[in-house]
Amino acid sequence: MSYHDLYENPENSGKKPTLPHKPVSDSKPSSDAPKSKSRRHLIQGAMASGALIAGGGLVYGTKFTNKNSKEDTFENPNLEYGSDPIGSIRSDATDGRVLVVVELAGGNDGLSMVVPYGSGTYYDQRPNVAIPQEEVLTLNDTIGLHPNLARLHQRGITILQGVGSKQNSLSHFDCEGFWQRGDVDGETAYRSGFLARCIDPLDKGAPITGLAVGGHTPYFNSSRSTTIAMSNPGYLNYLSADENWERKKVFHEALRTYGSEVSDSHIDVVHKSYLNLLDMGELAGERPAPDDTNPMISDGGGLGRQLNVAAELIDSDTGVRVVHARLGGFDTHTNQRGRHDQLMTQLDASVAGFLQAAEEKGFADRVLVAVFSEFGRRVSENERGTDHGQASNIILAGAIDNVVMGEVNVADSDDRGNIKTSIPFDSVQRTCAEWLGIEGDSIFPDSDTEILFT
Amino acid sequence: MVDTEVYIERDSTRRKISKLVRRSCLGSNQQVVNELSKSSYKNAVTSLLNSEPDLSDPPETEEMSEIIDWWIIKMEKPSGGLHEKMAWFWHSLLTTHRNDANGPYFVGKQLGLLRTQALGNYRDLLQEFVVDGALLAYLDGDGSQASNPNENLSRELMELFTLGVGQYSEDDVRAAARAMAGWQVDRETNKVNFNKRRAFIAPLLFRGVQDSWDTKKIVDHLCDDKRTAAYVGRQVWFYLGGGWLNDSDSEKLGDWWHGENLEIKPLVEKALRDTEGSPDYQRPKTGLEYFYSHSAIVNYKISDNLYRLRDLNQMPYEPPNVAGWPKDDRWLDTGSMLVRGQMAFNVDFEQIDDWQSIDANEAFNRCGLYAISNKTQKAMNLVETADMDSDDKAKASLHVALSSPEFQML
Repeated sequence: MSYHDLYENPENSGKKPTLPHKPVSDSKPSSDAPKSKSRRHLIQGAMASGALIAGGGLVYGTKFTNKNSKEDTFENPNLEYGSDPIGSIRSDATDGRVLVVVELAGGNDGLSMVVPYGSGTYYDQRPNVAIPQEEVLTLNDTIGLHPNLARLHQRGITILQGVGSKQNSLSHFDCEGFWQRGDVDGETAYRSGFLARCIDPLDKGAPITGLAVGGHTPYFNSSRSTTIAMSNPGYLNYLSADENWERKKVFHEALRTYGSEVSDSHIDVVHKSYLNLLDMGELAGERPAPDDTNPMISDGGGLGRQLNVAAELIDSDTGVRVVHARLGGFDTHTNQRGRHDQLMTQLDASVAGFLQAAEEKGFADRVLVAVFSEFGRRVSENERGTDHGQASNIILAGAIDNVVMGEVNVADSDDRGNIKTSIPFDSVQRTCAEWLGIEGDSIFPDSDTEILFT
Repeated sequence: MVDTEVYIERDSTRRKISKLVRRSCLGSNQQVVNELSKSSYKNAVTSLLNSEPDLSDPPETEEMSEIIDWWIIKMEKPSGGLHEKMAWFWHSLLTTHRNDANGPYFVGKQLGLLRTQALGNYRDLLQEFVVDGALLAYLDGDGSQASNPNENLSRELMELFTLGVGQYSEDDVRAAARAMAGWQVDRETNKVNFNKRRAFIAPLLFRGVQDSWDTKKIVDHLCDDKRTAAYVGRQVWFYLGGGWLNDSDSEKLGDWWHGENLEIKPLVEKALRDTEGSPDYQRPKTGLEYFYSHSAIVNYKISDNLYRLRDLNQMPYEPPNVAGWPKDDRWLDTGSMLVRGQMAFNVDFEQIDDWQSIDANEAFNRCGLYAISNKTQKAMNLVETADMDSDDKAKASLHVALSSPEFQML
């Protein structure tokens, strides 16, 4: 018998392979502008059927092809990410604070999230996609929130207006890279992700210091500390007891015999990962299945599930200090109202649900949620949506005072129709780092921006 | 990272052949190893190289996922062996993201190209690839005009597909961008057109040579450079589990492969033949490699398990960046091991032949592990002496073998 004969092709070569009922490789929305017509129809079809929210489990943003990220090219597989010096902890740091970053991937339209309803220019420039005045949840005489952010409106949030960079690129990849590294002018030579620089000085040897619940993120690149990136938080349930618990316990015990030797050997890398997992599983304890009737899950979808896991792990003693979560689909060149409205519902239910969970679990006084996007969108619409822009509005919620800072003047946009930057984004990042207890200068040595709150 | 571990050898012939098989095939199992172990290592390489590839075209469809799912199912077939293994390599070196690829028609075309040239000729493959409708979208060659050329394609052509970073100047990038301008993808007719009015026709200085450069000449020039053979040869060598060659060995390999006119099959053959005695576990299996190796043992129905590729962070046509997927220990980090550990435990034993007969020895055999570290042996011993019934012991033996560090490696 020859090697080839060992395998009989179960399908006749003429037959089409059996495909799953629903193509699984499409079980998430794309946050990139689909150039393909059929692809676009597919997305809208999936949205109409509700599949993106409830079906098939989790909803994640697309990983953008990070075209300009040269440290990511791995010409030599032994090269690691570039690293920067480890930052220092402030002497007056409040212990145990947790920063939760929610990344709105694709370029969130900040003017549809925090609406300048008092501006005539806004309505002139956006005859089709503006949020009607009567629907806005007002905050003051000039601005208000998107109607689908009712839970957050009721709870109270901080608004930072006109947060942007000091460079001109509108490329997803450039801007994403700049945000990820905290490089506000596109010229600062940070080599690691800004959250990685926050995580490293906070590491006290806990099972997880940095937790990415929406999959790998370059924000964590080059972190020296233990971080975990979960593409699908559902896998955590595997660490809990089930009907095979007796056998699973023996299996876990076997994994523990490996020990925790740290070396360059791949074998020890695997061992270390298992130990982190088992410690995490033990500390997290038995986890109930997510409650599908909780609005955080039923309305929040994938982001709600991510933040639900984050809340559980923060509450357990696993040592989590920095969380990254992701909601994709914000690249709304077309069909903006429908898509963006739906995303706002998800954001509202997820973040409000998370804050409520934080209250119930008793860590609300030490958690801050920061909702970022890599850029905003143009003031004027393109009839059906909006194109890549510059500065935007971002929101923060949690253990800080609720205020409105910075400004957006839609009548005074730059020569390309972009909102002007009133708060450089590294100022927000540096503030978040300081709030966590890190000496801002130690991880943003080239920045002298203002600290916005403490 | 080096493999510093000392391993207990369980079977010297199978140890070598099993290593060869796991390096050459995506989905392979015990039967393949047993069969190939009957002849010499050299004959086994020949047999693997001569396996009949399935060169059928991807389906023509408006659904991107149908094409990708089709490929995922094709890759499972162990009879595809090295052919499937190398087609996947070309997608990870010459990568494209589905969201930026001019739609399903062109992704299907590109996939067809990568699969038919998988063991063909690198120059021919690259010539077709740089004017491929999907790649032109992904690297912004589509619509680039000489008056204001987009440099993305020309830069990546030199950095990622031929010379490697640092082997060309910024002037070369600009010159090649000009010379390669003029391509346009017509999505109505599904044609890639060359628009002379957008092209640069006057002579240009590229890499010290004044000539009327165009796309074909640029690619030929780069393929004539021995550094291309060294750069791509080193990647293939590493991918096939031969380790990361040092600069001087990689140069030697380049000189040799250049002399072979960039024919892929001899390179693959050399990478497998010359490394018969190399260390057992050279690099982590990537997410996709793990998926197929695991699947061959637990008998997944692939079409029901496609989502796992996303959980394992390696869905085809969704690379994290233009350089493809990571090549380092990120495949073994805590998040990855959570997924792999869960897969090692949540096995559907009804799908596995004769699972009740699995003991420690059989578990290692089924996983193709003929070189075992002391630590893994110790973990297995714990299962053997645990207070469990025989069914649970059989199952737990397989859990330990599947989750062992060795099984995570190529």
